[in-house]
Parts: sequence; structure tokens; C-alpha cells
Amino acid sequence: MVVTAPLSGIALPLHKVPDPVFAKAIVGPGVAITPNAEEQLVLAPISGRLIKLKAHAFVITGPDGHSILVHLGIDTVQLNGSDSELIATEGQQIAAGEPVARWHPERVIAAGLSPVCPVIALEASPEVITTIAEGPVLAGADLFTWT
Amino acid sequence: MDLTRLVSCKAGLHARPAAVFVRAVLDSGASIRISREDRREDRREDRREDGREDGREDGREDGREDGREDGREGGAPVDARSIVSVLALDIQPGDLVVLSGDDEELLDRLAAMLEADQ
Repeated sequence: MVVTAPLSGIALPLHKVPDPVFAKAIVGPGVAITPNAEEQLVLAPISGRLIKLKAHAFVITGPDGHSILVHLGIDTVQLNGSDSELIATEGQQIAAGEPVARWHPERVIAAGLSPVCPVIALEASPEVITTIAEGPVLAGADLFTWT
Repeated sequence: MDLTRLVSCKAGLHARPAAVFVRAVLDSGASIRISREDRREDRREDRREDGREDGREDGREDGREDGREDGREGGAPVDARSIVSVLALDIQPGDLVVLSGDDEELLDRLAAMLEADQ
């Protein structure tokens, strides 16, 4: 399964994420994106069902049962949704590339928090995550492959 | 599973604490289940771009017993080794959860983790 970038920015290896739980892949393997610091549409990285949709994070489960978590910024749960507006609805089916939310990373930065977005393959073992993007990425472009 | 523990999740179980909790369960090697109790009122923290209420309909095509109609009701216990299942419970600050398993010491430890101010 190809996982595409939910946002535009610069790919950041997971171990460089400024949060030990993500950096040590305790949540799961994957890659992060340092987003361009401007309002962005956050796109679904895979097709599937939006099993969880919060202001700062969402999980999509694909037809093969694989789930991807996108977390908008670090510790942003404390902003209580002031940095995003939801577009999709929890529970709906969504196609890769469709917008999930409108997000304002610049507000996260202004609040003194990190806007880095981990994109995580939940319950995957690290070796099945391959062809991880490096450098600048555009929303919708290939980010990594879950074999 | 013999033992159950009713726990108040002070800070909720979003991605970070859920991952730490699931890691503790996995590291123990034990089989633990977790479920969320019904809550009295639904919390709507998310703002919608179109101004609509977050209309959570159920209708789970995958047949999992969640029992969530409008997000208030808890559901059937899930495997606490699965971060996807734990995240799908949507445990908010103040929610009551039930942990079940055979290992009392482990249940104590997990309960303390959930009750802590994260």
C-alpha cells in the first residue's frame, strides 16, 4: 500500500521528531513531515474508513486492515481544536487525497508548540515500511510504502 | 479473565498516552482487555469548517461491536495490545474504562497509568 503525504513540507525521519514516544516508534514506524508554515488542507494519506477524527489527529483503516495515524503537531491536543477546522466526518469512507481538515500550523508555532506531523503505520513492524520520502514533499505525493 | 478494574482516565487516551499504555501491555506479555463506559454527555471539542455538528453515525461495515451511536455509549471490550482498537475507543479526559485480565499487579500498574495526570 502506498501512503501519500497528508501535507506539504519537508520529510523528517521519525527519530528526529521532538517527542520520545513518536521518535522511538512506540506509536509505530513511519515518517514525519515538518509542514510549510501556512494554512493547509490536510489530505487523507490512504483510502479507507476514518475510524477516528479529532482536531489534532486522525486514523484511517484501509481495506486490507492496515491503519495510518496522522498527528498534526506535537502536544497539540492542548490547543483544543483552535488550530484546525474539520472537513470530513468521523466514520466516513474517504479516498486518498481527499481533504480531512483545514489546519493552521502557524498557530501551533505561535503557541510555542512543534508543528511536526508524524505519519504512522499503526501496529506495523518496522521492516515493512519502505521507500520513505526524503526532502521536500508535496501533499498527495508518495510518502512511504507499507509492504 | 478473572479480574476487572474500573478506572477513571484523568487525561484521556489520545495518541501519545495510548501508545505508552499499549506498549506496557505488550511488554507484559499478558492478555488485557479494555472498554469504555457510557458517558453522560457527549463532548464536542472539534470545530467544523461547515458549521455542522460532528454527525457521528454508526453503521460499522466491518461488523465490529462498538455500539457507538452518537459517541456517548461505550462498547464491547477490545484487545489492549492493539493501538488501533484502543484509539478507536476514543477515551476522553474523565472517561471511565474497565480493564480486565488475570494479573492483579499488572492491572494495578495500568490503572495507575490511566489515572495519572499525563
